[in-house]
Amino acid sequence: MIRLRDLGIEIGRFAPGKRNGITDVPGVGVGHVGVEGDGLYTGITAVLPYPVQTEKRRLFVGRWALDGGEGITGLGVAEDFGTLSSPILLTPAPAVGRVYDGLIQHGLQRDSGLSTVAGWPPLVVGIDPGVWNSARQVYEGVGEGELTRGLEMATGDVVEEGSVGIGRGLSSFGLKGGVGTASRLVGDRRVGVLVAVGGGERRELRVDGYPIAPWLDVDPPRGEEDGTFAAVVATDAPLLPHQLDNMAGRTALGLSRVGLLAAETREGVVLAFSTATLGSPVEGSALEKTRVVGEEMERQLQIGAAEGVEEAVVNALLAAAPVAGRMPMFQRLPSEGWPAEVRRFQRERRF
Amino acid sequence: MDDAKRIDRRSFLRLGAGLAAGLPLAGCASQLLTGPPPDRVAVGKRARLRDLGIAIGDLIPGENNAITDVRGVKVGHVTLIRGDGELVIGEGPVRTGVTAVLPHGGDITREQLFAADFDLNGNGEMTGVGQIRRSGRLGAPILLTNTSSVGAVYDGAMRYMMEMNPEFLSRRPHPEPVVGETWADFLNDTAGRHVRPEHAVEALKAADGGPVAEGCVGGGTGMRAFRFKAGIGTASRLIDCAEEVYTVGVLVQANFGGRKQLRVDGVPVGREIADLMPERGKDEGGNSLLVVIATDAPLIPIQLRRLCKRASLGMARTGGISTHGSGDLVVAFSTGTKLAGEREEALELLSDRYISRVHQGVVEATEEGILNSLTAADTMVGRDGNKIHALPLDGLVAAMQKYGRLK
Repeated sequence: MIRLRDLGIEIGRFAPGKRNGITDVPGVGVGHVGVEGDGLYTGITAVLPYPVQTEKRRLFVGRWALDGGEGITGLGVAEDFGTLSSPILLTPAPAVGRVYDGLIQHGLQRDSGLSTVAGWPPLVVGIDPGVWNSARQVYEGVGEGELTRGLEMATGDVVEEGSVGIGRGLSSFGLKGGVGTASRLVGDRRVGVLVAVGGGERRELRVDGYPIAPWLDVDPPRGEEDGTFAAVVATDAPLLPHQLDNMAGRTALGLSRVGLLAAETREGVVLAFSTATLGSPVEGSALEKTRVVGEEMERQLQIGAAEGVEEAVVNALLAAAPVAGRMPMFQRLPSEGWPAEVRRFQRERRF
Repeated sequence: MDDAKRIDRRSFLRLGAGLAAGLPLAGCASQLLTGPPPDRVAVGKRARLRDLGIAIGDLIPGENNAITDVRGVKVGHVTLIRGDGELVIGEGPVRTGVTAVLPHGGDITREQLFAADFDLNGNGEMTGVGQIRRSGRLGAPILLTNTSSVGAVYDGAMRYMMEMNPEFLSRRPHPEPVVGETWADFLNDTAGRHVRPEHAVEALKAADGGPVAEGCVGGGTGMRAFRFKAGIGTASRLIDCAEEVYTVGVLVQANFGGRKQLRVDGVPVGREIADLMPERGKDEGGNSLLVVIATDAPLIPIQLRRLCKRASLGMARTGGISTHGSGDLVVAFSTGTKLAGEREEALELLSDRYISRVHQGVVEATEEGILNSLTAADTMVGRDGNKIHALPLDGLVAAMQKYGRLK
């Protein structure tokens, strides 16, 4: 699989982590489950902020949304308390309720009281299931079984990209969309991102600021370009909820730079969490210990997150194999032609 | 907090629980427990709610039942009352002022505090809240005034901050003063803009701990609530949390409410006192509440935002409904964590498991603070001879007796 850096193109000022993926943040896992049937090409992607099968934890979380980011559950606790305990499930929108139901079942097994330190409330993000999927079939085809497999299959190793999990049904920039990931090392901390890339406009597609649409000789099928996206940002730097809100908001700069934030993109949500901040409450004590980064570090982390999402979007497009035999046929972003132009553009810009 | 103070507060709480159990009237119990300071009446002009034997809620107030019970918090007022009779813009009558809240005794521009705000109804102004939302911090004093004086007071706060810390403008972004307003036009020459920057500086320099003057003082000078004279009010509560007793204090500038809405500890006092309505002119518009919440409990911004929301419940218990025309704006800060902000820092925060206790303190103190602004305020005659009557304390007591709350 070719990633952007394999083409000799680096984005931003910070170096990527070992895997250049969200799993460079220790404890974070990702599981993809594909769902395929008659007229069905979709799936779900689970992002585990910590090992949810064996631990009970709360993490601080923040959020930014384009157009309100419809189709997200668990907002009450996430916005009012600023905490997250559930895995984050990226699912096709018609399946939000069924996946939510599965997470409730999963949560009940961990804690019959459904507490906010043991997976409640479920955080499910609904994404446009894609033009070739029948919403009815998506609704019927994605449920608790897929969720369970997604949680079981989650790994902290290299994250598969492209037409996997929720990425199977996505289209973006008139190309095949998918899931992409990237990471950045900021000081001694890590920022990892995962983006479900849907929506975006062909003519807005830029790599490190260079417009590459003229280099794509395949016309988008039927001009289908609208859609929704979702992104997850993980960091092991200690950030408080309002800082995570700011960090999620800053990713809009990266998403905009690559062209994903465009007129045809209907809605999207970015969730940001820190694995470093909150421990478990201590019995008999009213106080909990935490840490908070300094102002300069906060700014650097925001830049790292914005760089990460920009690169992750291109990684998703490069990895996303077309859906065989489906109409309309969306193509994978080709890896020839434009990369040489982008490299030349980057060289010239340096001087 | 030093150990001696902690022991004092602990035994105080135990004493409170024991005494309250043996006494039939919550109001009397609270008088015994809190022992209103002897100079209380000299500080305020009329009375405080507890002086009348009426206590709100279950929690015990701090020493002065004021926002200044949160150690380090200081309050200063400059009250401008000048002229009588017909309105002559630029001359008066003047019925306004400025109230300053200093969040701690040090240099707030350097030692910033976690903070948050909540906008219950947005038809008002509170400057600086954008910065508070982004940074989660307060690096400036909080000042309350009337609508036309926000810019002048902001300017005065800038002068004060520059004097306190000549370097403060070189910090980018520099801390922004928090200036809130309510509408005093029925009594005051709004267009005359009589509050000047130097008045804000004066209020900041006059700020002190201890008992807080209430009623027709500072920013509250021209204000009215439930169509009685109101203004500034304050109250506090002690919060018992495992190994520590924290304090939450509230200061309000009350300028809202219809007469029939007024409730005191649930008693429909406004329905019992139908007379003494505002005289002359038409008293329209201006239905706002400003609330400043201080606590020494170590809370992070998202927790402080939750406290801010609870001020709405305190307002609701007095009968306020937050009308369309209101600027019902709340700001909260915690003195429990002082931040340098430059490098990574370890800090402690109050577990969410205990935060409901602080919520209760905010609700009770907001309710009592609003009511104190009424019981402390005197009848005032202002522009064009417009008159707002004070809430009659005998009528209030009679209403409470009628509903069985007082003997």
